[in-house]
Amino acid sequence: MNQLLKEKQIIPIDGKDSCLVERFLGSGGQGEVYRVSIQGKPYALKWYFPKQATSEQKASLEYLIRIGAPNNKFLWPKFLLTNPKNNTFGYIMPLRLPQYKGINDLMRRRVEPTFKALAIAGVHLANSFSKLHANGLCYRDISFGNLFFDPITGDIQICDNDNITTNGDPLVTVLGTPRFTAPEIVRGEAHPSRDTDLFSLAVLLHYMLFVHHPLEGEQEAKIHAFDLPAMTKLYGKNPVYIYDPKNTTNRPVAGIHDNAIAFWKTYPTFIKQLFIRAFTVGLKPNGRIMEIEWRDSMARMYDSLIYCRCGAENFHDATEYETTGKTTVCWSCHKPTILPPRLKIGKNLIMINVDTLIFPFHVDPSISCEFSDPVAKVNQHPQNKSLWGFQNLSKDKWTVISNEGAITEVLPGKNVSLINGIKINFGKTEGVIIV
Amino acid sequence: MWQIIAESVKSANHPLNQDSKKYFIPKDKEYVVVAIADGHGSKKCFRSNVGSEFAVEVLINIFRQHFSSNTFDNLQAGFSGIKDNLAKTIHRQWMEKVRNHLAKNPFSFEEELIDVKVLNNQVISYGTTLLGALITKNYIIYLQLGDGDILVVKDNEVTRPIPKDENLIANETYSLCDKEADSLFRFYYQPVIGQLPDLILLSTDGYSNSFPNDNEFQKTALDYNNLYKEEGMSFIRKNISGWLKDTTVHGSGDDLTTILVFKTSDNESATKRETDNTN
Repeated sequence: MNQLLKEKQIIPIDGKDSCLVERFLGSGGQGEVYRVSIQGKPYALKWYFPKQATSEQKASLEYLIRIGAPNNKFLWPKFLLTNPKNNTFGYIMPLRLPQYKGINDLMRRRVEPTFKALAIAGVHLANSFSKLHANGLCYRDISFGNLFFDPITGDIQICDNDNITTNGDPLVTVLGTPRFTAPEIVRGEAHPSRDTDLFSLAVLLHYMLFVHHPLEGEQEAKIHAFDLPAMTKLYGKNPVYIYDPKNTTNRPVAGIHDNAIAFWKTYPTFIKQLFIRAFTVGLKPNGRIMEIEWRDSMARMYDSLIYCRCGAENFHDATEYETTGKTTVCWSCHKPTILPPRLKIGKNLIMINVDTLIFPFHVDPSISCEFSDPVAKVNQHPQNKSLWGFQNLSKDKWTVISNEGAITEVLPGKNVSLINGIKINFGKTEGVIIV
Repeated sequence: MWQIIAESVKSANHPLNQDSKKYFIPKDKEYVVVAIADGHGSKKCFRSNVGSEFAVEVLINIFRQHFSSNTFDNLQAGFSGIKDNLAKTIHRQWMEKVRNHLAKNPFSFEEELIDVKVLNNQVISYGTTLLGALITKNYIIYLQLGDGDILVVKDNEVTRPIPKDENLIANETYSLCDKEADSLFRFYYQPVIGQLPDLILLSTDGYSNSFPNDNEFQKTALDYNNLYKEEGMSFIRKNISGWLKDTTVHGSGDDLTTILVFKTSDNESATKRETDNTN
């Protein structure tokens, strides 16, 4: 139900090209978004409501367009369009592709991504905000309305980038979305900054993994009206993590917060400890988890994935295994999982499943986490089906040292058997196979 | 600024009208709140007339409180966080009313025998949809849980602020008795740019289901708008009950409830009959 532009309306661009309004896509508090085409190519156009079309907003957009996107995950403003008749304006950005779904769809169970896809999405999210913050910018309004992910591949797209400002900009009007804003903003003590973005990022990751808010437990269940005083208390003045090990006053309530209870059991200890830190010491700005730690932890989570015989995805919990010697009990069939072979590279332990791929960042710490151009894949021997190996997909040869000390080379395209104790030198790093 | 008609007719198939309707306009006519609810007609929802009554009461009260505290005046950061709070508050307060009612009115022996599933989760017996709108001169908030229709007429064009939910097929609907009902609400926040709509029509699904297709149903909104301009409010008020009865008898056979909110013409005395009224 659009009000600002009409379908088939043509908006001139610089007197040369033109932008054809195709259809209304949706609206928010600031304006309306339309699908448009320019020279036959589809784009999205956000047009501001007259009250929101301020000179500050325009200047901010011009700045963002000038500096460009931190990476290709951001649906970044490309250029401005203006209507001189009423002094309103909008901006062109890439169109979100249909396979990208919102966290709302996850909450409503309209999509059920694999743990693998969630881990990849977590890596991309942390990585993208790392790059944004490294550019001296602050997102200000991280929430699940702004993140879309492909439930198959885990790729992400980050929308609503027009409220991004330089870190510490005091002239901000957008303070964030309730539930995602840092406690110090809720209490009225701070403005959005990189520190508060880090809190919102932690909330968003918590939503993605546990399908629940980190501070909504017993205290939330008692709320009669979700008004400002109730929200300020829950998210600002007395925030308590639902799994705070020292403060048990805000545990999730069975029958109300079932997602949190169910998903808490499925994740490995290091992930749970990270979220405990994020929402205990991390309730204060100087205790926040940095983007890189989130990214590395999400990548470690990806590497911890195993499959139960029933087919369900589970996580190997190295901490639990080292302490008790017991493998993860499958969340689906409730039987102990069988530990697959592992590849240990430095401190990292990668589970070797039939579909495991080893990526450049696994074998070269200087390379950023990207899940493309794998350097190795798992192969089954064509004749001896019980024999598995790594196929070298890279352009470099590997050096393999057997348990007896024999050194052989594995050329690109060739395989190395997964035998306990053998070492593979990938060039920058060396890994050992554990079976 | 507004004139309202709220009308409901009972299905010949139901012993009780399970729909509810309510609206409120304060003395200063600053805003209008309207709500309708369709208590489910299935056998296990045997208290849905009470559930729908609770639903409209809760929504009217919550919208009034939010308007008084200016919650929706400055939504620079969007509506997404606020709508979650609204949905949670509506759901929780409705649940509280239902639980209190159950505590004071436990199931009778006959009710206990109706369905074992309901005996284990008694809230189901109160199941209802909910539709509503908060209409002000600066913005309008539309809200919907489950089936039913909201149509808006402006400049002789009919639009749906909340599109039909493609996830709902046949007679399936979301309900306030769902454990996660708060995540199933849909909202539309519309800042008013230029003129207010000429007509906002809310109706339970008994209305649209009486028409062969959506286009025919949407024409009804245009007809009401034209009648209002040509014949006036009193003509519609006098006849609407009969029209609705005819519609359901020859159509869905369901309870049928509608609220029509007309923007008054300049020469009419605004909200003359409805001022400071809760109905």
